[in-house]
Amino acid sequence: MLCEKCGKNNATVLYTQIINGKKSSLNLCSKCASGESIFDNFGSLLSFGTRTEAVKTVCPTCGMTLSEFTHKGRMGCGKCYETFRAQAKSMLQKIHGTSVHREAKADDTPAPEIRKEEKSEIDILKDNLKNAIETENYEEAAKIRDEIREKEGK
Amino acid sequence: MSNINEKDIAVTTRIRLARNIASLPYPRKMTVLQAEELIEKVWDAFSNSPLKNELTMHKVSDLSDIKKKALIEKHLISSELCTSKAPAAMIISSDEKISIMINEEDHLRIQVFSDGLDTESAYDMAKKVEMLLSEKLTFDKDDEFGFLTSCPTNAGTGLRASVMLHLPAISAAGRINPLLKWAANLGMTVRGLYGEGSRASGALFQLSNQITLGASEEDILARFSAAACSLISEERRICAELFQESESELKDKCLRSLGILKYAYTIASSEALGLVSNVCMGANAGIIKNIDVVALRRALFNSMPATLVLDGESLSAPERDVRRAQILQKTL
Ligand SMILES: [Zn+2]
Ligand SMILES: [Zn+2]
Repeated sequence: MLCEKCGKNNATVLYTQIINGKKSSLNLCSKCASGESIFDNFGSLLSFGTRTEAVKTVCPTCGMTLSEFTHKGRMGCGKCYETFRAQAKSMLQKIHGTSVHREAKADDTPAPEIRKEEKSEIDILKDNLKNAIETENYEEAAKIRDEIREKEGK
Repeated sequence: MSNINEKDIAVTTRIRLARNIASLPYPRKMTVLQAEELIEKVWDAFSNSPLKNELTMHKVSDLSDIKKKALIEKHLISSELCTSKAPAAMIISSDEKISIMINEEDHLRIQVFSDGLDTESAYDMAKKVEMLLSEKLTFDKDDEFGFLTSCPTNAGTGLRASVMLHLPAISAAGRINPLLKWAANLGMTVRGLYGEGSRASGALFQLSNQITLGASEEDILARFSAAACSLISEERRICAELFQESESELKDKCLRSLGILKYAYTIASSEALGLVSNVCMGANAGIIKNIDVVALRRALFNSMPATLVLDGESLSAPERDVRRAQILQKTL
């Protein structure tokens, strides 16, 4: 895509401005994006509730675009993590529950436990209970039922 | 009976480290020249190491189709390596315990295998290889995110531990679905190795850690081993339960399979998976004596289609089934 201001260079930055809740966006080349505010001609008059942000949309090293990255969920190079840092961070949090790498072995402070641990145990018991009933193993089922009650009672 | 490393149930452990070189695009975005240079650099890094004598490097483009298939069949390389857009290669040790993929999804996938459930020795070797390579190459690492990888699912440690488990009792008891849920809640995954879910033939499953970021490599491994151990003892428990419930039925199933395995003239690979599974279960339960479970399984893997063709002359499918029966019978 060509820069929507100069029409010459490739657009690498998505420039978004929100004025009084109304959002307007422009795809710009890095030169135009780094220049004076292009919204000046109308933006300065309406400074109330104005928020401007520029989001890099193309990795300068490998040419990966933001939409390609969000579509495929794959990085093109290490620099992509820097370029799309906010998106990478939220993606890592979704996958691993955190985005902070840990080098050292956990000593007395246990490593962050995986979420839903307590709930999962009951889930498994419930599955086992269903299984036991289905296979008409009522003795086992009663045992599991008591175990579930005890766990849920806590 | 050798139960060291739970070899009756755990077949092989694999440790895999994903690493990328700083300021070089990932394989999907690499130029042919960059990819070829990296292959040379990685291979060069071994030149002063005593390891080198045991290793050979193969460019994927030099491998025959049947060789590729056999390597994939043995889980030594992935099919993605063979379809990589960039020139790709593998470095493999003569005992097939080390297999390094170059320019697969990431620049480097260091894989080390060990027998049974044994993350320790495989991890030690993988770190040795990583150390050796890091003397010549700079791995890309972010202060917050850790090691950077092409897919964010591998970032942080880049460490994936897997173990192949034989779970005939859990599958027979119809407990695969609860098992999948249990694994997911622990940040692990389980998948059938020959077919998915309850249709997995041979009852061979792979347990792997899914979470690679937020815990140290040691902690990930400790958690993984604990999960594998509890899964193995669950298999043992259910197996004992099943034999108590329907002893004669199961005895008959195991012994009948042994009979076919011993005397059949041809055995197809899918049938072999089922028969070996039943015989191993019988051996583990003490019903079948004097069977080396480890050797029988090895024979099974060595008699899979592509591996058979690679080792022998060009065998036709019916000839392969005859050869398979012979290979399996030798271990009984
Ligand atoms: Zn411009
Ligand atoms: Zn990039």
